[in-house]
Amino acid sequence: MQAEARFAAGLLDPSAPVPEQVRDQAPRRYAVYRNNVTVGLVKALEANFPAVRRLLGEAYFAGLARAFAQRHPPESPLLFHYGAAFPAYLAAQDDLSGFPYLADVARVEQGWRRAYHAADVQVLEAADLALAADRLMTLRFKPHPATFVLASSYAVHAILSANRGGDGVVADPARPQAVLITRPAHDVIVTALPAEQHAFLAALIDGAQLAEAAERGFAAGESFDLAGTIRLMVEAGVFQSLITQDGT
Amino acid sequence: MKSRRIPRSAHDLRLPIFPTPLRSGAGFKPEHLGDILADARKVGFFEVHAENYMGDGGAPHAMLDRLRADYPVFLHGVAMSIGGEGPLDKAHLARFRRLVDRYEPHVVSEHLAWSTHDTAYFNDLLPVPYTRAVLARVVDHIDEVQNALGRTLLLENPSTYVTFDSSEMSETQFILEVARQSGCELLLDVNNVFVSATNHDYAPEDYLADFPLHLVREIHLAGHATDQDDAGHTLLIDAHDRPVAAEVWNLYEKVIAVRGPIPTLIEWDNDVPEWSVLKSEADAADVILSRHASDAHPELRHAS
Repeated sequence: MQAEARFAAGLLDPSAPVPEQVRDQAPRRYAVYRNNVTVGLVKALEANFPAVRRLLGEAYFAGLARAFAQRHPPESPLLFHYGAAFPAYLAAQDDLSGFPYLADVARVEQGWRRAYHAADVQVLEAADLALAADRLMTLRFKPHPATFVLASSYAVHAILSANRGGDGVVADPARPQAVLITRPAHDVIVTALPAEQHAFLAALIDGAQLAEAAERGFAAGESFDLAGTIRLMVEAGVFQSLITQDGT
Repeated sequence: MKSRRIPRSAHDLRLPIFPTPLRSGAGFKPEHLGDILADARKVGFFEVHAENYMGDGGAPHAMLDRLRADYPVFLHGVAMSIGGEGPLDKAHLARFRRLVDRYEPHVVSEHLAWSTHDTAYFNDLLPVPYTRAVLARVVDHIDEVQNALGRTLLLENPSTYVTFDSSEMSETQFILEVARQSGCELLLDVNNVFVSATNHDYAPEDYLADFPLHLVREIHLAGHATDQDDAGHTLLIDAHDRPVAAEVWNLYEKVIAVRGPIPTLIEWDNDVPEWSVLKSEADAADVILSRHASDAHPELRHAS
């Protein structure tokens, strides 16, 4: 094994011996590197998943984050994206069966982080729609790079709001809720979506024509307000532009 | 309706050109931006960790655009893994290049360390043995970085907690040889000198006497934590979480007395205090710099 591989082998493994090429075999010296790496990764996960941390408590989260980091070290130095595998890891923890919504909350926090760092791209404006009014129902839309939607069996929007600056209290977490994340300027906006609005926007984000997406909306709920949802989608900045006939 | 247009970035504007700040600067923390802009007395420059600005857009870039309009910005990489056995990450180099193009940093620096092995990124500055083989690798990597960025790189001396049986030369010999062969210049971290000297039982003054001070273009100062190893030997940790230690200020003044004033950064990355506290550390460096203002190195005077 190369020197670097031997040095790296113990960085995430507290039971590993001091690498043999190290002259100063006092374990606490090599342990400084191990500690720096571990503490840094735990801090990165804390920064990326603040609501999950609050739900689990600081100490429990830190233990879980350490265990995750040992199995899934980052593959990129862009630590604000670290933790792609964290939601699935949370879902697989037997000890967390009392928190069935945790993985979805983590997915939404991931969406929040991606939106925060997404490219600065103009959003579709009401005027762009007005210009295409004669063929409105055939329009397709290009999603803004910050846009994220998720439909959950749990009240993810309420749980997220309560645990990112709120009082932490959610009356009824076991009700389905969908969430929309957008970033029309520099501030990330998190919006709770009724099921029919989610059905409509998710279809549009997938590339459906407006008529087809509207059908999905009405299928999800008779009270679907098409005009109101189009207004919401423009205000929130879900899309960057229309997709023209040639597909651009 | 309210306009949702993204404001034009400073991207396509010509950025202000500043003279070399023979002053102190501070590591930029986003939470300080309001206080920094409201502060009538400006520091000499700000330095940012390149990786924090490698997202595509959003608030981080908006803040850095704003800062760059008023201040020289120094770009400091922490993840290039210049000392690594493997090849440099081309995607990372390309991201770095985009930052250099966008922000026109006053200087660009990186570490004599590694952080990536295979696909795993270890977010720390890991040590290298000072061998001829590692020297050749580091020189090649710096050459690649300097070509990719179109800039001279400043290489920073590390804080270390271990040494290696395989080392064939001293750290100062190694650094001098890297600079000679690659054409890079140097970032002298005086706290790192003190930390490593204490951890490995040599006099920091001896290290500085051997260090090629004429190649130093920037100085870093930071606070360190004090611990002990298993044998009861003092083990200093480069923690960046407190004020600069008195011994480090003394060493710093000795360097400036020899070298003349050069840009000096206060790093404070953990337990970050209010802006006024960080600023007072920068003020303390400015007092030392101004005491030696008349010693300014002729070459630096010319550059400013």
